[in-house]
Amino acid sequence: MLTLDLLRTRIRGDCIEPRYVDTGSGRHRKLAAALIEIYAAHGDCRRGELDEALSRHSGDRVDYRIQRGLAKLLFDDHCDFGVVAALPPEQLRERVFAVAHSYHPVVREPDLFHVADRGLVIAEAGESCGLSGEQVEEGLYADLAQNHRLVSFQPPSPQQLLNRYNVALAQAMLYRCREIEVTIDPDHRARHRQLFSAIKFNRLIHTVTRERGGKGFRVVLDGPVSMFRHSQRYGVRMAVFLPALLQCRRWQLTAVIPEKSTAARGRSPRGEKETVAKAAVIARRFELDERTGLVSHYPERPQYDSSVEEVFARRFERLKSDWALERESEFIDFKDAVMIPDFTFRHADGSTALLEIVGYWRPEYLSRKLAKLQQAKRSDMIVAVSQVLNVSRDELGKLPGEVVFFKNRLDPAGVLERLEQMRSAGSLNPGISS
Amino acid sequence: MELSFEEGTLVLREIDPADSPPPEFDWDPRRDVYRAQALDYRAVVTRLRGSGIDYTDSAKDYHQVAFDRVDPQAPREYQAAAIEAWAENGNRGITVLPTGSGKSLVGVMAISRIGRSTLVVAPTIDLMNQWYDLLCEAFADVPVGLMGGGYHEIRELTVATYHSAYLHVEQWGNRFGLIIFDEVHHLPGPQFSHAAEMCLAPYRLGLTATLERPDGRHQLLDRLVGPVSYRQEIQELAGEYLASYRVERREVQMVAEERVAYRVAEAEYRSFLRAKNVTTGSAAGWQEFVRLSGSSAEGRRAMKAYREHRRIALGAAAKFEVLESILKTHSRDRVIIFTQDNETVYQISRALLIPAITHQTRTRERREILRKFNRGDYLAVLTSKVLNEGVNVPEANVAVVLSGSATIREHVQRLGRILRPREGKRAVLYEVVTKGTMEKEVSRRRRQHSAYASAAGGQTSGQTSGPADDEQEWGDGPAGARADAS
Repeated sequence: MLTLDLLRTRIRGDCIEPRYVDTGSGRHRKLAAALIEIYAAHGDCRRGELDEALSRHSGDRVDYRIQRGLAKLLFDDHCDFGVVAALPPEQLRERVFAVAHSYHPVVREPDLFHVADRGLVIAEAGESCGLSGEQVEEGLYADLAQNHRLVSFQPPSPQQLLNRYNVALAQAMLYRCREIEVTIDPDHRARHRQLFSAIKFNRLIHTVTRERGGKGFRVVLDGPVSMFRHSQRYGVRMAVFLPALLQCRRWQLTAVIPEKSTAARGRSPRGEKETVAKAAVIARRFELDERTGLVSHYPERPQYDSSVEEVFARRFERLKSDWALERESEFIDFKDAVMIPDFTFRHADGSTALLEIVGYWRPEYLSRKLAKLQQAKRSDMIVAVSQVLNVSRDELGKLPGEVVFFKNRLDPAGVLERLEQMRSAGSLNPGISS
Repeated sequence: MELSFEEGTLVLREIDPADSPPPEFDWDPRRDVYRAQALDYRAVVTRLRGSGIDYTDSAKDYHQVAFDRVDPQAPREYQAAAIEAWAENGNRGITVLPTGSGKSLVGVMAISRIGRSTLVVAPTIDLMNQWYDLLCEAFADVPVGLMGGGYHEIRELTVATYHSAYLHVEQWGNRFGLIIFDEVHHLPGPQFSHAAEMCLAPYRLGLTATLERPDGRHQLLDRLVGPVSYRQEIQELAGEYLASYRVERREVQMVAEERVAYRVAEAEYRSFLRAKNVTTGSAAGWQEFVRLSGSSAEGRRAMKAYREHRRIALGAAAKFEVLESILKTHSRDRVIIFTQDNETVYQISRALLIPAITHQTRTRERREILRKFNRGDYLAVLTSKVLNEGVNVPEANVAVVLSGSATIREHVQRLGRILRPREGKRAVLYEVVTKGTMEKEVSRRRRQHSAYASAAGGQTSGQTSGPADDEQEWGDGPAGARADAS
């Protein structure tokens, strides 16, 4: 990830956005390729030498911050550095300083009272451990970061590097944000579960509502203390969360970014004292959606098999019942998690019910899920559980709630029967409130 | 009702319909619970106790621990007064004492007095290590935990850095009854303040020599830690408990090439700023310069020139000569040498073979170097900014400031290094400045502090700082911009 000083932004009205690079531009590809080449050419070199080469390459360039950003990503994600010395540097120093102490102070031009210059001390220290003066010099501070050697380098392609850079810019924007708001389109399912598990994994707090006027969900993310104070504490977690969002389709993100010092920026120097004193925090909006074209560096996760759902939907439609079938159009907010059931059934009389199909599971997972449903007092929910796994029905007998078992295919007639039972038992509301 | 600690906040559940939640709580619709700041734990519990409401406290997870001091040294009068004032204030508040006057002993007394699981928070890894040593010695049988510098072990008595305390507060926020913030002026930053807000410790002590912050945020400390319960300024203590000291100033000439290079670099960035009509007197001016430097090749060259002219002034070759002569003069004294940047530290360390301590020095080696220095196995130690705050080098009696920025806090702390009291100790501070550079201005401002004025024989501080100038903002501009969470 990038540090804040490498983030370049552009302000338009009350909006702020990173200055993304055009990943298709020849200039940037050339820059990325040149940096990758510099790294590749510095195998076994000291980090200081590499930095110097990078600095020479940047010269007076105005886009030096792009270069430094790209170089940092290469450094963080594609390199290994190590200490190379004849003896551990710490031991070498101990010897050298002990010898130096016996002649203290070491001077540059020895005289009658100060007999030792550094050459004498280095040689004497080297002799005591069988090393040449050169080896001592070489190893003395080999453990300083600047003296680490580039041991290995796994080059990305220029395109990969530029993609990663743009994502890193967007992530860096989020470091300072107080909250983010995400809108997701329910038609593009499949990734939502991963999205909410990423939210939970990053210990963020969500508030889910229906998108006004639309059929999507609006999810606001912040953290526990956000209700008491403006807090940028959760910004890094939001940044880590971002790549999971990038893997969704049809989404939109808005973040509020407090800008501390911009009040003083770009104004005339006159009266600047007052400007600084009044540099109250301005909040700007940072917006992002799929059209921004960010490419997640996470590997495409395998889509889990949804054929059970598809087959079920097709067969259910064929029954020509009074129930219309909708996909993932409702959510159940457990507060510490969100569940988006696979199907919503809408009866001609307005009653609705939900169906969740559980294909792969562990018993603990299943009972936790069902307990949550009970806690949420959802009597309008059917859970269909696959028996592909070798768990006996007895073990599952204790499970609460409406559970239907199925082997390879979920029988639509059975589900319909259950729906009618629920409707006549009065356990369905005439319309689901969310 | 049941009170619990969750993610750095207090949460109230199972509320009897007949009771209403204490006013510190707000409804959190995101999770359907009542939530309050952990900082309000003390107020909440006091209120619940007084109201007779039946409640379970699952929030706190700290314990009574007998912290018996081994061989306690008798406190000085002002230390005893400080702890008494703190206790009278309900065991919360801030003690302001000069560096070198034994602030940490006030902390040790507080730990022993409160007898609850305790966390001590310090700004640097070095200070964390120093507290670690101190607490191990003060309470011999108590294992001391560490958070920071690669460690993460929480024990009944734990020392942490501000950074780690901030990062992990959700984990430890309910595990300590007493929390001590050393150098508490670091606490009120927008990020670090979370550490105080998200922990429930009812007893809190802040220690510092320099309470006031340029940004005024020290006012927040009242809520985070408590009010100032005791305060003694440096002049009231000097002479009585602190070693007396004198200041010697050495001016050095740049060598000819340096002088030329300095003038060239200076002329380049100045003419750029003049052309762009940027005044060099404030944070806003600095930001403008930074902005310009990112938007044209010309600006970028000007910024390079600025850095270059600064580097030349701070690291003039002649300083090495002066340093060598000081070391010859004090060949049997304990000398500690300060420079502005790590590059210079290692340059000198290699040239004169003097051990160096920087932020890159590992814990064990750092401790070893300081131990040898205090024992006399090393007679000189080099350091950049890392030893600025409260590091224990009682044997040092000569300090050399080779170059540095002008912030008053830094200078007071540098003085503090050699002010540790000892019978018959007479300390010397050398300040080595390059003639005819911006460094003289740095030095002038440095001397405006009261400690310096008295030490330098009543040299007046008549020139009050008018508009903040160059070095004050500029010297610290890039570093300050990193903010406390970095």
